[in-house]
Amino acid sequence: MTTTTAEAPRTRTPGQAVTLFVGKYGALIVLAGLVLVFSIMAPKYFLTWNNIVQIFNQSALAAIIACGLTLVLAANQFDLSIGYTASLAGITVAASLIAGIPIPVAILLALLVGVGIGILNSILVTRLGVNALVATLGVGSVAIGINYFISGGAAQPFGAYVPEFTEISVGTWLGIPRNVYYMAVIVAVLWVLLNRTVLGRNIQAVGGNAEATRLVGVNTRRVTSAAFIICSLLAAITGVLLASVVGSGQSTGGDGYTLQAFAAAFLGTAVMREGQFHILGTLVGVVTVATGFNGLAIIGVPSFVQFLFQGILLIAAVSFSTVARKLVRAGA
Amino acid sequence: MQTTSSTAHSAVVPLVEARDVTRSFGAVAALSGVSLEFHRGEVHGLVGANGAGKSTFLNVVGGAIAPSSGTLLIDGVERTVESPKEADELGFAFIHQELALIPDFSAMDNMTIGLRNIARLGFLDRAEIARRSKAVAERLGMTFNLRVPVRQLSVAERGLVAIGRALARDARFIAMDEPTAALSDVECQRLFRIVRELATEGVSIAYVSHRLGEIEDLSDRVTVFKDGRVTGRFERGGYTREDLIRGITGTSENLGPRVAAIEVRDDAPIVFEAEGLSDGARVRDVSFVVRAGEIVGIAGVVGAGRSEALGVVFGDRRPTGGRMTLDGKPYHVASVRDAVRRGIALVPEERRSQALIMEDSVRFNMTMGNWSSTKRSKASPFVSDTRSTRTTQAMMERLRIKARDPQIPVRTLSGGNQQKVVFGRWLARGARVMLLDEPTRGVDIGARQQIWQTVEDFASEGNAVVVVSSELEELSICHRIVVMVEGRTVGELQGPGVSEEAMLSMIYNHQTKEENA
Repeated sequence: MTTTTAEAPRTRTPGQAVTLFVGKYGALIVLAGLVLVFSIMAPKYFLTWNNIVQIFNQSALAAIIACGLTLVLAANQFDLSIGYTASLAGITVAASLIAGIPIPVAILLALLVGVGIGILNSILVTRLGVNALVATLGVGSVAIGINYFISGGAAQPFGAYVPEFTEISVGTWLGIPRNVYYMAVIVAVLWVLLNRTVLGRNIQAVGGNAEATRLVGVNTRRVTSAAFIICSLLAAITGVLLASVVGSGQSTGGDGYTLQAFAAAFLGTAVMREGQFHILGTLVGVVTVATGFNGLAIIGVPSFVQFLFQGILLIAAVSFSTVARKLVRAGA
Repeated sequence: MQTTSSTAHSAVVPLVEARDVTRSFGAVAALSGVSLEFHRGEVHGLVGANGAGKSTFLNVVGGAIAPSSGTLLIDGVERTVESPKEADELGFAFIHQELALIPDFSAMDNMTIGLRNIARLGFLDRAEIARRSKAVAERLGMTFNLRVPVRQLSVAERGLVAIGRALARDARFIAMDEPTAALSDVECQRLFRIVRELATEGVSIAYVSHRLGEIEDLSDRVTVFKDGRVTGRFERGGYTREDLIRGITGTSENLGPRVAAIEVRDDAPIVFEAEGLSDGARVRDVSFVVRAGEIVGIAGVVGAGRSEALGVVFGDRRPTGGRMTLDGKPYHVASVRDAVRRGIALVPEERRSQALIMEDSVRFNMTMGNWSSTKRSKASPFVSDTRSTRTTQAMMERLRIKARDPQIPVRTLSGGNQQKVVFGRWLARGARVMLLDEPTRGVDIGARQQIWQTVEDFASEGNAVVVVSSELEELSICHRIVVMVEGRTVGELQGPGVSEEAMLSMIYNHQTKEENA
C-alpha cells in the first residue's frame, strides 16, 4: 500500500505564469499594445484628444448593445437576436416618424418592440425550455421578417421631415459627442444593476450554477427572463440611436452588432477576472476593438484587415483566458 | 507469470478470479482484501448495505477503477483490466441502475452500437444490424417494436435492451446492479427466467441486489460484503436468510444512547409532520413526525426514495397524496421558493452541482438567494458587500470555517469547509426545519464532528432536523430513526433499540414480509 496523498505541486512553470497573466489581463495588454504601436506609427494623428474622443464615439453604440448582451451571457445564456432587434427598432422609429408620429411616441414604440422581442425570447427559453441559441436565432429571423414587412427592405429616411430627431445623437456637450454620454450613463447603470442589486447578484448566481440557485429559493426563470428583456431593450435603444446618427432607418443597419457585441463580451472575459462576463470587461473589449479599427484606418490598412484583426484578437484573447482558467482550476 | 501454470482451460478455472483486492480512496478503504471467483454458468449473488463495496468491486473488474493492490485472473491468467473498453473486449458487460442507453436510438441501434462487423466501408449495414438484433430479441423474448426510440419503451423493456446489448456482444460475464429496482413482479419473473437461461448457456453472472429473496432464488453462490470486506460466502442450499442478514449487519455495536444528545421530551411540540405522503413515483407512503429540538434520521437502501421524500417537503417534487403540517398549520408549497419562505432548508446530496457555485467566493455562496438581507433598508435597491462580509465572517467564526478570507473562491476550500458554507447560508437565514441529505459525504473526520455539533446546536434551539444518511455513525446523532423501504416508511427505532443490526434487519426483514404478503 502506498500513501500518495501529497498535495499537487504549487510551483508554476514560467509558461504557466505567463498564460495566467495574459489570461487575466489579456485584453488590457492588447489595448496597451495597440495604443503603443499606433502612437509610434501615426504620432501626429493617433494619440490626439480629437481622435481619442472619436474612438469613444465609435464605441458608444456597440458598448450599449454589448453591455446588454453581457447580462444574458452572465446568466449563462445566449442572445443571437440582438442585431436584428436593433435593426427592427431603427426601422420602427423611422417609419413612425415618417408617418407623422411624435418623436417621444416613436421612440417608445421602438423600445416596446425591443421589450416584446425580449419577452418572446424569455418565454421560449425559460418556459418552453428551447435552447437559447436556437430560440434567439429563430426570433431574430422573425424580427427580420417584420422589419422587411414594414420597410420593404428600403431605407426609411426621415431627415427631411423631423431633423430634430437627428439632434438626439448628433451634436456635442462640452466638446464630447452626446452618444458618449449615453454610453457612460447606460454602462454605469448596468454596472450597478449587475453588481449592486439583488437581480444582478441573482443573474450571476444563475450563470454560476442554476440548479444550486434554484435550490436556495430563487425564481431562476424570472431572473433569466429579466436578463433577456433588458438585453433586448438595450438592443432597441442602440437601434434608435443608430437611426438618429444615420438620419434614416436602415433594414440591416444593426445586424453587424451581433458579432461585434459577442466579440467584445468575450474579449471582456480576459479583463481582470478569469473567464467571467462583466460590464467593465465588455466596455474594455468594445474600446479595444474600436481602437484597433481606428488605428488601422489611420495607418491606411484596407478594411478587410480590420475584420481579420477583430477575429484573431477574439480567438487569441478567449484562448488565453480559457487556458488560464483551466490552470487555475488545476491548482497551478 | 509463474503463478499461472498450464491449467488455463480446465473446467475448474474460474472465468474471473480476484485475489486479495484492495482499493482505498484517500484514507478510506473501500475494499480490503477481497477474494472472489466468478464461474462460467453460475449466478453469483452479491449483497451488502449501501457502501459495503459491491459496486466498487464490480468497477474494479470492469476496468473503471484501478485496484490499489491485489491481482485479477481472467481465464486463469493474471492480468489487469485498464479500462472499460478492455473489459468490453474481454466479453464483460455491465448493466447499471442508470441504464446507459441512448434515448433517441432504437432498441436495434442501442444493442448493436459499437459492434464490429456491422459496417462496410464505414456505412452501417442495416440488414446485418436487423439480423443480429432479431437473434438477440428472440433469445430474450422481446416482443416490442425494436425500431422505435427506446425512450418510448417501458423501464422493463429498456432493461431488456441493456441485457440485449450484452448478448449482442456475446458477453461471457454480465454484471447486473439492482436490475429489479424499477420492475413490476411480472417483469421480475421474466428477468429471472432470462438470468437462469443465460447461466445455463454458460454465461457467468454477477447479480447485485438488496432484495434477499431474489438473491436466494437465483444465486448458485452468494458473497456478503460489509465495510469493504467479505463477511460471508455461501453456496446454494447451505445457508438461511438469517445468515445473510448477519453478514450484512455484522455483529454491530449498539449506537445509542448518545452522551451529547440533548433529551427531547415526548410532549415537545411537533414542528413538522408528514402523513401518507406520496409523489406518484418514488415516494409511496411516507409518514413521520419531528418535534422541536429533535433530529430524525431516515434510513434505507439506495433507491428507497429517501432523497425524493425530502424533495417533496422542500417543494421540489409535487405531492400527489398525503398531508403535511408545519408548526401545527397546514403546509402546502408550490415551489422551492415557497418552502424556503416558510423556513425550510435543504442541504442537498451533491454539494458541487446542487449547492455551491465553485468559482464564486465564500461570501457569494454564503449570501446567494438572500441578497435582500444585505440591503441597508427595505426600500434601498442596493445590496451591501460590507454587510454580506460581516455576516459571512460571523458565520465563518461560528462554524470554524477554515478560509483565508471571505473573498476566496469556495472551490479552494476542503469538502468539510465547503459543506459548512452551505450550513452557514441557512443558519444566516434563520431556517426552522433543516433537511440534510448525506450531510457529511466526502467530509473529513474533524469537520464531521463540527458539522454534527452544528446540527445538534441548531436542533437544541427548538428547531427540527431531518437527516437522510447511509452512514450509521451519522444516524447515531439522531433521536429517532425512521426506516424507509421502497418508498414507504416501515418503522422507527429509538433509544436503546437503535443499533446497526436492528436497522438493517428492519430493512431486510420488511422485504421478507412484502414478499410473503
